[in-house]
Amino acid sequence: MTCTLHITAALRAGITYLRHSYCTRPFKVANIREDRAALQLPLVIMSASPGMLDGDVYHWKIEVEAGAHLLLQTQSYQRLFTMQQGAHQRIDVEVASGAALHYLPHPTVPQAAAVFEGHTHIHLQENAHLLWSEIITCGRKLNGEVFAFTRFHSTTEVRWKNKLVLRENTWLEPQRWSLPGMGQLETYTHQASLFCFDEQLDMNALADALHEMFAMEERIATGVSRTAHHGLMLRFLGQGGEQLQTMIARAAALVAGMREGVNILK
Amino acid sequence: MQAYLLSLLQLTDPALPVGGFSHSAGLETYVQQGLVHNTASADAWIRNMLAANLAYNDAAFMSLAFDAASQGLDALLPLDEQCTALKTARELREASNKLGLRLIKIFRQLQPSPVAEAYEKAIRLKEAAGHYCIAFGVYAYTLGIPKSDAISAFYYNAAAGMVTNCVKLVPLGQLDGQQLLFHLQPLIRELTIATLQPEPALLGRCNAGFDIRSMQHERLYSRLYMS
Repeated sequence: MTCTLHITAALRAGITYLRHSYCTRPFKVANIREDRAALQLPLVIMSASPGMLDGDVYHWKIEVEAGAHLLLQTQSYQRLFTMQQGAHQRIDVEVASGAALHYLPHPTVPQAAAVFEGHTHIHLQENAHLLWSEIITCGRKLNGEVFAFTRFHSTTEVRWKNKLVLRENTWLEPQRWSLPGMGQLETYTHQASLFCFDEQLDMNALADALHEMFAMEERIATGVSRTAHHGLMLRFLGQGGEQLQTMIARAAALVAGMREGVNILK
Repeated sequence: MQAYLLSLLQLTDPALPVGGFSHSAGLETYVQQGLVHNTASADAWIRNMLAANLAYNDAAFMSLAFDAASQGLDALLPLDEQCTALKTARELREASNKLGLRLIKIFRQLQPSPVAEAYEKAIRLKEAAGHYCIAFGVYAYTLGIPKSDAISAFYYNAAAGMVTNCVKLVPLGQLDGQQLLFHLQPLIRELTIATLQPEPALLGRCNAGFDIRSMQHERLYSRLYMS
Protein backbone atom coordinates (compact mmCIF):
# COMPACT_ATOMS: atom_id res chain seq x y z
CA MET A 1 0.00 0.00 0.00
CA THR A 2 1.31 3.45 -0.89
CA CYS A 3 0.81 5.86 1.97
CA THR A 4 1.32 9.57 1.53
CA LEU A 5 1.80 12.38 3.97
CA HIS A 6 2.37 16.01 3.06
CA ILE A 7 2.69 18.74 5.66
CA THR A 8 3.46 22.41 5.17
CA ALA A 9 4.04 24.61 8.19
CA ALA A 10 4.10 28.36 7.68
CA LEU A 11 4.31 31.54 9.68
CA ARG A 12 1.46 33.98 10.29
CA ALA A 13 1.81 36.93 12.67
CA GLY A 14 4.82 35.29 14.29
CA ILE A 15 2.99 32.03 15.02
CA THR A 16 3.57 28.79 13.12
CA TYR A 17 0.44 27.18 11.72
CA LEU A 18 -0.40 24.18 9.60
CA ARG A 19 -0.87 25.70 6.17
CA HIS A 20 -1.33 22.46 4.32
CA SER A 21 -1.87 18.89 5.38
CA TYR A 22 -2.68 15.97 3.19
CA CYS A 23 -2.46 12.33 4.11
CA THR A 24 -3.77 8.98 3.03
CA ARG A 25 -4.45 5.93 5.18
CA PRO A 26 -3.15 5.00 7.71
CA PHE A 27 -1.87 8.49 8.58
CA LYS A 28 -3.48 11.33 10.42
CA VAL A 29 -1.93 14.55 11.57
CA ALA A 30 -2.88 15.89 14.98
CA ASN A 31 -2.14 19.39 16.15
CA ILE A 32 -1.37 19.09 19.87
CA ARG A 33 -0.80 22.78 20.60
CA GLU A 34 -2.29 23.55 23.99
CA ASP A 35 -1.23 27.15 24.30
CA ARG A 36 -2.70 29.03 21.36
CA ALA A 37 -0.12 31.76 21.81
CA ALA A 38 2.81 29.31 21.53
CA LEU A 39 4.99 30.24 18.58
CA GLN A 40 5.99 26.71 17.66
CA LEU A 41 3.68 24.19 16.06
CA PRO A 42 3.72 20.72 17.64
CA LEU A 43 2.27 18.02 15.39
CA VAL A 44 1.91 14.31 15.95
CA ILE A 45 1.89 11.98 13.00
CA MET A 46 -0.61 9.30 13.94
CA SER A 47 -0.92 5.97 12.23
CA ALA A 48 -3.80 3.51 12.30
CA SER A 49 -1.41 0.76 11.19
CA PRO A 50 0.63 -1.14 13.79
CA GLY A 51 3.64 -0.79 11.49
CA MET A 52 4.98 -1.31 8.01
CA LEU A 53 3.84 -4.42 6.17
CA ASP A 54 5.38 -6.17 3.21
CA GLY A 55 5.08 -4.00 0.11
CA ASP A 56 4.22 -0.83 2.00
CA VAL A 57 5.58 2.38 0.50
CA TYR A 58 5.58 5.51 2.65
CA HIS A 59 6.15 8.83 0.99
CA TRP A 60 6.37 11.84 3.21
CA LYS A 61 6.93 15.44 2.32
CA ILE A 62 7.56 17.95 5.08
CA GLU A 63 7.93 21.62 4.34
CA VAL A 64 8.71 24.32 6.85
CA GLU A 65 8.38 27.75 5.32
CA ALA A 66 10.52 30.78 6.11
CA GLY A 67 10.65 31.60 9.80
CA ALA A 68 8.26 28.83 10.87
CA HIS A 69 9.09 26.35 13.66
CA LEU A 70 7.69 22.84 13.48
CA LEU A 71 8.02 20.20 16.17
CA LEU A 72 7.15 16.90 14.58
CA GLN A 73 6.51 13.82 16.68
CA THR A 74 5.36 10.29 16.13
CA GLN A 75 2.70 8.42 18.04
CA SER A 76 4.38 5.12 18.69
CA TYR A 77 7.24 2.78 17.80
CA GLN A 78 7.49 1.98 14.09
CA ARG A 79 7.32 -1.78 13.71
CA LEU A 80 8.63 -3.44 10.58
CA PHE A 81 6.87 -6.75 10.17
CA THR A 82 7.98 -10.02 8.56
CA MET A 83 8.46 -9.49 4.85
CA GLN A 84 9.36 -11.07 1.54
CA GLN A 85 9.98 -8.07 -0.73
CA GLY A 86 10.28 -5.36 1.87
CA ALA A 87 8.92 -1.96 2.76
CA HIS A 88 10.12 1.38 1.38
CA GLN A 89 10.09 4.82 2.84
CA ARG A 90 10.99 8.12 1.25
CA ILE A 91 11.02 11.37 3.20
CA ASP A 92 11.62 14.73 1.53
CA VAL A 93 12.17 17.68 3.80
CA GLU A 94 12.51 21.38 3.02
CA VAL A 95 13.46 23.77 5.78
CA ALA A 96 13.34 27.32 4.45
CA SER A 97 15.41 30.29 5.42
CA GLY A 98 15.22 31.02 9.14
CA ALA A 99 12.87 28.09 9.72
CA ALA A 100 13.29 25.30 12.27
CA LEU A 101 12.34 21.65 12.35
CA HIS A 102 12.64 19.13 15.16
CA TYR A 103 11.87 15.53 14.28
CA LEU A 104 12.50 13.05 17.08
CA PRO A 105 10.55 9.92 16.18
CA HIS A 106 9.95 6.82 18.26
CA PRO A 107 12.34 3.89 17.72
CA THR A 108 12.03 1.62 14.71
CA VAL A 109 11.67 -2.08 15.49
CA PRO A 110 12.70 -4.39 12.64
CA GLN A 111 11.07 -7.68 13.58
CA ALA A 112 12.12 -11.12 12.39
CA ALA A 113 12.67 -11.27 8.60
CA ALA A 114 11.90 -7.56 8.13
CA VAL A 115 13.33 -5.89 5.03
CA PHE A 116 13.41 -2.11 5.01
CA GLU A 117 14.79 0.55 2.73
CA GLY A 118 14.41 4.22 3.59
CA HIS A 119 15.81 7.36 2.03
CA THR A 120 15.57 10.78 3.59
CA HIS A 121 16.54 13.94 1.74
CA ILE A 122 16.70 17.13 3.75
CA HIS A 123 17.27 20.55 2.21
CA LEU A 124 18.22 23.43 4.45
CA GLN A 125 18.33 27.06 3.45
CA GLU A 126 20.26 29.84 5.10
CA ASN A 127 19.87 29.98 8.88
CA ALA A 128 17.62 26.93 8.93
CA HIS A 129 17.73 24.98 12.19
CA LEU A 130 17.41 21.22 12.19
CA LEU A 131 17.31 18.62 14.91
CA TRP A 132 16.75 15.10 13.61
CA SER A 133 17.08 11.71 15.26
CA GLU A 134 16.79 8.03 14.47
CA ILE A 135 16.67 5.10 16.90
CA ILE A 136 17.01 1.56 15.59
CA THR A 137 16.34 -1.41 17.82
CA CYS A 138 17.47 -5.00 17.39
CA GLY A 139 13.88 -6.27 17.12
CA ARG A 140 11.47 -7.43 19.82
CA LYS A 141 14.22 -8.02 22.31
CA LEU A 142 11.97 -9.14 25.16
CA ASN A 143 10.64 -11.89 22.86
CA GLY A 144 14.21 -13.02 22.36
CA GLU A 145 14.31 -11.46 18.90
CA VAL A 146 17.77 -9.93 18.57
CA PHE A 147 18.97 -9.06 15.07
CA ALA A 148 16.53 -11.51 13.49
CA PHE A 149 15.57 -9.07 10.71
CA THR A 150 16.84 -9.62 7.18
CA ARG A 151 17.97 -6.14 6.17
CA PHE A 152 17.61 -2.59 7.40
CA HIS A 153 18.93 0.10 5.09
CA SER A 154 18.41 3.78 5.77
CA THR A 155 20.17 6.72 4.15
CA THR A 156 19.87 10.33 5.21
CA GLU A 157 21.31 13.21 3.24
CA VAL A 158 21.37 16.79 4.41
CA ARG A 159 22.03 19.54 1.90
CA TRP A 160 22.65 23.10 2.92
CA LYS A 161 21.96 25.42 0.01
CA ASN A 162 22.55 22.51 -2.39
CA LYS A 163 25.83 21.46 -0.79
CA LEU A 164 25.88 17.97 0.69
CA VAL A 165 26.86 18.50 4.32
CA LEU A 166 25.90 15.20 5.93
CA ARG A 167 25.36 11.69 4.68
CA GLU A 168 24.41 8.70 6.79
CA ASN A 169 24.18 5.23 5.32
CA THR A 170 22.96 2.74 7.90
CA TRP A 171 22.99 -0.74 6.43
CA LEU A 172 22.36 -3.46 8.96
CA GLU A 173 22.28 -7.00 7.63
CA PRO A 174 22.93 -9.62 10.31
CA GLN A 175 23.81 -12.33 7.78
CA ARG A 176 26.45 -10.12 6.22
CA TRP A 177 28.09 -8.45 9.22
CA SER A 178 28.18 -9.61 12.78
CA LEU A 179 26.23 -6.77 14.35
CA PRO A 180 27.52 -7.40 17.88
CA GLY A 181 31.04 -7.23 16.37
CA MET A 182 33.79 -4.68 16.88
CA GLY A 183 33.01 -1.32 15.34
CA GLN A 184 29.36 -2.29 14.88
CA LEU A 185 27.01 -2.38 17.88
CA GLU A 186 29.72 -4.03 19.98
CA THR A 187 28.08 -5.31 23.16
CA TYR A 188 24.90 -3.27 22.59
CA THR A 189 21.64 -3.98 20.78
CA HIS A 190 20.25 -0.52 20.00
CA GLN A 191 21.69 2.47 18.22
CA ALA A 192 20.64 6.08 17.95
CA SER A 193 21.84 9.20 16.25
CA LEU A 194 20.86 12.81 16.65
CA PHE A 195 22.20 15.54 14.46
CA CYS A 196 21.82 19.26 14.60
CA PHE A 197 22.48 21.97 12.04
CA ASP A 198 22.41 25.59 13.06
CA GLU A 199 24.55 28.47 11.86
CA GLN A 200 24.02 30.56 14.99
CA LEU A 201 24.70 28.04 17.74
CA ASP A 202 28.19 27.61 19.18
CA MET A 203 28.57 23.98 18.16
CA ASN A 204 31.78 23.48 20.15
CA ALA A 205 30.02 24.61 23.32
CA LEU A 206 27.04 22.44 22.45
CA ALA A 207 29.29 19.41 21.90
CA ASP A 208 30.97 20.06 25.27
CA ALA A 209 27.61 20.37 27.02
CA LEU A 210 26.29 17.17 25.43
CA HIS A 211 29.45 15.35 26.38
CA GLU A 212 29.09 16.54 29.98
CA MET A 213 25.45 15.50 30.02
CA PHE A 214 26.17 11.87 29.14
CA ALA A 215 29.73 11.41 30.45
CA MET A 216 28.61 9.60 33.58
CA GLU A 217 26.06 7.32 31.89
CA GLU A 218 27.47 3.85 32.27
CA ARG A 219 24.97 1.70 30.39
CA ILE A 220 25.43 3.40 27.05
CA ALA A 221 28.29 4.33 24.75
CA THR A 222 28.14 7.96 23.64
CA GLY A 223 30.03 9.91 21.04
CA VAL A 224 29.62 13.53 20.07
CA SER A 225 31.50 15.40 17.38
CA ARG A 226 31.41 18.31 14.99
CA THR A 227 30.44 17.30 11.50
CA ALA A 228 31.66 19.22 8.48
CA HIS A 229 30.24 22.71 8.02
CA HIS A 230 27.98 23.80 10.90
CA GLY A 231 26.67 20.49 12.15
CA LEU A 232 26.94 18.28 15.18
CA MET A 233 26.42 14.54 15.50
CA LEU A 234 25.55 12.68 18.68
CA ARG A 235 25.56 8.90 18.62
CA PHE A 236 24.52 6.32 21.18
CA LEU A 237 24.76 2.59 21.57
CA GLY A 238 22.46 1.21 24.22
CA GLN A 239 20.28 -1.64 25.39
CA GLY A 240 16.72 -0.39 25.01
CA GLY A 241 14.45 1.78 22.90
CA GLU A 242 13.04 3.69 25.81
CA GLN A 243 16.49 4.23 27.28
CA LEU A 244 17.78 5.82 24.06
CA GLN A 245 14.57 7.78 23.56
CA THR A 246 15.13 9.35 26.97
CA MET A 247 18.73 10.23 26.06
CA ILE A 248 17.64 11.79 22.77
CA ALA A 249 14.91 13.78 24.55
CA ARG A 250 17.43 15.08 27.10
CA ALA A 251 19.86 16.05 24.34
CA ALA A 252 17.09 17.74 22.36
CA ALA A 253 16.00 19.71 25.42
CA LEU A 254 19.56 20.89 25.89
CA VAL A 255 19.80 22.00 22.26
CA ALA A 256 16.44 23.76 22.51
CA GLY A 257 17.49 25.43 25.72
CA MET A 258 20.74 26.61 24.21
CA ARG A 259 18.90 27.89 21.20
CA GLU A 260 16.67 29.94 23.43
CA GLY A 261 19.73 31.35 25.06
CA VAL A 262 19.02 29.51 28.29
CA ASN A 263 21.89 27.71 29.84
CA ILE A 264 20.02 24.92 31.55
CA LEU A 265 23.24 23.48 32.89
CA LYS A 266 23.43 26.30 35.43
CA MET B 1 59.79 -6.29 -13.14
CA GLN B 2 56.72 -4.24 -13.94
CA ALA B 3 57.51 -0.55 -14.46
CA TYR B 4 54.88 0.55 -11.95
CA LEU B 5 56.04 -1.66 -9.08
CA LEU B 6 58.51 0.78 -7.53
CA SER B 7 56.00 3.64 -7.77
CA LEU B 8 53.41 1.47 -6.03
CA LEU B 9 55.87 0.57 -3.27
CA GLN B 10 56.69 4.23 -2.71
CA LEU B 11 53.03 5.31 -2.74
CA THR B 12 52.15 2.73 -0.09
CA ASP B 13 55.38 2.79 1.91
CA PRO B 14 54.40 3.15 5.59
CA ALA B 15 57.51 5.36 5.88
CA LEU B 16 56.10 7.86 3.35
CA PRO B 17 56.04 11.13 5.31
CA VAL B 18 52.30 11.82 5.15
CA GLY B 19 52.01 11.56 8.92
CA GLY B 20 50.06 8.32 9.10
CA PHE B 21 52.00 7.28 12.21
CA SER B 22 50.28 9.97 14.30
CA HIS B 23 46.76 8.61 13.69
CA SER B 24 45.22 5.56 15.34
CA ALA B 25 41.73 5.83 13.73
CA GLY B 26 40.07 5.29 17.10
CA LEU B 27 42.27 2.37 18.21
CA GLU B 28 43.60 4.40 21.12
CA THR B 29 40.08 4.56 22.58
CA TYR B 30 39.59 0.81 22.08
CA VAL B 31 42.84 0.08 23.90
CA GLN B 32 42.20 2.52 26.77
CA GLN B 33 38.73 1.05 27.28
CA GLY B 34 40.12 -2.47 27.27
CA LEU B 35 38.13 -3.48 24.19
CA VAL B 36 41.32 -4.26 22.26
CA HIS B 37 43.68 -5.94 24.69
CA ASN B 38 45.39 -8.91 23.05
CA THR B 39 46.24 -10.46 19.70
CA ALA B 40 42.76 -11.88 19.12
CA SER B 41 40.93 -8.62 19.82
CA ALA B 42 43.49 -6.65 17.78
CA ASP B 43 42.89 -9.07 14.90
CA ALA B 44 39.10 -8.63 15.22
CA TRP B 45 39.48 -4.85 15.26
CA ILE B 46 41.68 -4.81 12.15
CA ARG B 47 39.50 -7.28 10.23
CA ASN B 48 36.33 -5.35 10.95
CA MET B 49 38.01 -2.06 10.07
CA LEU B 50 38.99 -3.51 6.70
CA ALA B 51 35.89 -5.56 5.85
CA ALA B 52 33.05 -3.53 7.41
CA ASN B 53 34.47 -0.02 7.22
CA LEU B 54 37.23 0.60 4.65
CA ALA B 55 35.61 -1.65 2.06
CA TYR B 56 32.62 0.72 1.86
CA ASN B 57 34.37 3.94 2.77
CA ASP B 58 38.00 4.88 2.14
CA ALA B 59 38.92 1.92 -0.08
CA ALA B 60 35.69 2.27 -2.06
CA PHE B 61 36.32 6.00 -2.54
CA MET B 62 39.90 5.25 -3.57
CA SER B 63 38.58 2.86 -6.21
CA LEU B 64 36.03 5.43 -7.46
CA ALA B 65 38.65 8.20 -7.47
CA PHE B 66 40.94 5.97 -9.54
CA ASP B 67 38.20 5.75 -12.20
CA ALA B 68 37.23 9.40 -11.88
CA ALA B 69 40.83 10.58 -12.33
CA SER B 70 40.66 9.91 -16.07
CA GLN B 71 37.63 12.21 -16.31
CA GLY B 72 39.13 15.17 -14.52
CA LEU B 73 38.28 17.32 -11.52
CA ASP B 74 34.52 17.48 -12.11
CA ALA B 75 34.29 13.75 -11.49
CA LEU B 76 36.37 13.98 -8.30
CA LEU B 77 34.52 16.83 -6.60
CA PRO B 78 31.29 14.89 -5.84
CA LEU B 79 33.39 12.11 -4.31
CA ASP B 80 35.25 14.62 -2.16
CA GLU B 81 31.97 16.22 -1.05
CA GLN B 82 30.46 12.87 -0.17
CA CYS B 83 33.54 11.75 1.72
CA THR B 84 33.42 14.91 3.86
CA ALA B 85 29.69 14.51 4.53
CA LEU B 86 30.13 10.87 5.60
CA LYS B 87 32.96 11.41 8.04
CA THR B 88 30.95 12.68 10.99
CA ALA B 89 33.73 12.11 13.53
CA ARG B 90 35.86 15.26 13.36
CA GLU B 91 39.24 13.64 13.95
CA LEU B 92 38.72 11.05 11.21
CA ARG B 93 37.71 13.77 8.78
CA GLU B 94 40.67 15.96 9.68
CA ALA B 95 43.09 13.02 9.49
CA SER B 96 41.83 12.24 6.01
CA ASN B 97 42.29 15.89 4.99
CA LYS B 98 45.79 16.20 6.44
CA LEU B 99 47.07 12.96 4.98
CA GLY B 100 45.52 13.76 1.62
CA LEU B 101 47.17 17.15 1.35
CA ARG B 102 50.56 15.75 2.37
CA LEU B 103 50.29 12.98 -0.20
CA ILE B 104 49.63 15.54 -2.91
CA LYS B 105 52.51 17.73 -1.72
CA ILE B 106 54.92 14.81 -1.97
CA PHE B 107 53.81 13.45 -5.31
CA ARG B 108 53.36 16.75 -7.14
CA GLN B 109 57.15 17.06 -6.99
CA LEU B 110 57.59 13.57 -8.40
CA GLN B 111 54.85 13.02 -10.96
CA PRO B 112 53.12 15.72 -13.00
CA SER B 113 49.37 15.20 -13.06
CA PRO B 114 46.90 17.82 -14.32
CA VAL B 115 44.01 16.21 -12.40
CA ALA B 116 45.99 16.10 -9.12
CA GLU B 117 47.02 19.73 -9.63
CA ALA B 118 43.40 20.69 -10.27
CA TYR B 119 42.37 18.81 -7.10
CA GLU B 120 45.05 20.58 -5.08
CA LYS B 121 43.89 23.93 -6.43
CA ALA B 122 40.29 23.08 -5.52
CA ILE B 123 41.44 22.27 -1.98
CA ARG B 124 43.30 25.58 -1.77
CA LEU B 125 40.20 27.44 -2.97
CA LYS B 126 38.06 25.46 -0.47
CA GLU B 127 36.02 23.95 -3.26
CA ALA B 128 37.16 20.57 -1.98
CA ALA B 129 38.23 19.36 1.46
CA GLY B 130 40.88 16.96 0.15
CA HIS B 131 40.91 13.34 1.24
CA TYR B 132 43.75 10.82 1.43
CA CYS B 133 41.76 8.05 -0.26
CA ILE B 134 40.88 10.30 -3.20
CA ALA B 135 44.41 11.64 -3.62
CA PHE B 136 45.71 8.05 -3.42
CA GLY B 137 43.32 6.96 -6.19
CA VAL B 138 44.34 9.91 -8.36
CA TYR B 139 48.07 9.19 -8.02
CA ALA B 140 47.66 5.44 -8.41
CA TYR B 141 45.94 6.16 -11.73
CA THR B 142 48.52 8.77 -12.73
CA LEU B 143 51.45 6.48 -11.93
CA GLY B 144 50.03 3.81 -14.23
CA ILE B 145 49.39 1.30 -11.45
CA PRO B 146 46.78 -1.32 -12.34
CA LYS B 147 43.61 -0.75 -10.33
CA SER B 148 43.50 -4.09 -8.55
CA ASP B 149 47.13 -3.73 -7.41
CA ALA B 150 46.42 -0.21 -6.22
CA ILE B 151 43.43 -1.44 -4.19
CA SER B 152 45.39 -4.34 -2.65
CA ALA B 153 48.20 -1.96 -1.77
CA PHE B 154 45.76 0.53 -0.26
CA TYR B 155 44.37 -2.19 2.01
CA TYR B 156 47.87 -3.46 2.80
CA ASN B 157 49.06 0.02 3.73
CA ALA B 158 46.02 0.50 6.00
CA ALA B 159 46.50 -2.94 7.55
CA ALA B 160 50.23 -2.39 8.12
CA GLY B 161 49.48 0.93 9.81
CA MET B 162 46.86 -0.69 12.06
CA VAL B 163 49.23 -3.54 12.96
CA THR B 164 52.02 -1.06 13.85
CA ASN B 165 49.61 0.86 16.08
CA CYS B 166 48.39 -2.35 17.74
CA VAL B 167 51.99 -3.43 18.42
CA LYS B 168 52.68 -0.06 20.07
CA LEU B 169 49.41 0.48 21.92
CA VAL B 170 48.09 -2.90 23.07
CA PRO B 171 51.09 -3.76 23.13
CA LEU B 172 51.75 -6.84 21.03
CA GLY B 173 55.05 -8.53 20.23
CA GLN B 174 56.66 -7.54 16.93
CA LEU B 175 56.37 -11.11 15.68
CA ASP B 176 52.70 -11.30 16.70
CA GLY B 177 52.10 -8.18 14.64
CA GLN B 178 53.75 -9.69 11.57
CA GLN B 179 51.74 -12.89 12.04
CA LEU B 180 48.54 -10.81 12.06
CA LEU B 181 49.56 -8.92 8.94
CA PHE B 182 50.56 -12.06 7.05
CA HIS B 183 47.29 -13.81 7.82
CA LEU B 184 45.28 -10.86 6.52
CA GLN B 185 46.35 -11.68 2.97
CA PRO B 186 43.30 -13.84 2.05
CA LEU B 187 40.96 -11.13 3.38
CA ILE B 188 42.79 -8.41 1.44
CA ARG B 189 42.58 -10.52 -1.74
CA GLU B 190 38.85 -11.00 -1.22
CA LEU B 191 38.24 -7.32 -0.47
CA THR B 192 40.28 -6.23 -3.48
CA ILE B 193 37.92 -8.07 -5.83
CA ALA B 194 34.85 -6.64 -4.09
CA THR B 195 36.28 -3.10 -4.19
CA LEU B 196 37.02 -3.08 -7.94
CA GLN B 197 33.41 -2.00 -8.50
CA PRO B 198 32.04 -0.74 -5.16
CA GLU B 199 28.36 -1.40 -4.61
CA PRO B 200 26.77 2.09 -4.89
CA ALA B 201 24.05 1.47 -2.28
CA LEU B 202 26.64 0.50 0.31
CA LEU B 203 28.95 3.43 -0.31
CA GLY B 204 29.66 5.18 2.97
CA ARG B 205 28.23 2.45 5.19
CA CYS B 206 28.19 3.73 8.76
CA ASN B 207 29.93 1.75 11.49
CA ALA B 208 28.35 3.16 14.63
CA GLY B 209 30.88 1.61 17.01
CA PHE B 210 33.95 2.81 15.12
CA ASP B 211 32.43 6.27 14.82
CA ILE B 212 31.60 6.54 18.50
CA ARG B 213 35.08 5.41 19.62
CA SER B 214 36.63 7.97 17.28
CA MET B 215 34.37 10.67 18.71
CA GLN B 216 35.32 9.58 22.23
CA HIS B 217 38.99 9.89 21.27
CA GLU B 218 38.58 13.67 21.11
CA ARG B 219 38.05 13.65 24.86
CA LEU B 220 40.44 10.97 26.11
CA TYR B 221 42.39 12.08 29.15
CA SER B 222 45.79 11.19 27.72
CA ARG B 223 46.46 10.77 24.04
CA LEU B 224 49.45 9.67 22.01
CA TYR B 225 47.67 9.94 18.67
CA MET B 226 45.80 12.70 16.84
CA SER B 227 42.86 10.42 16.00
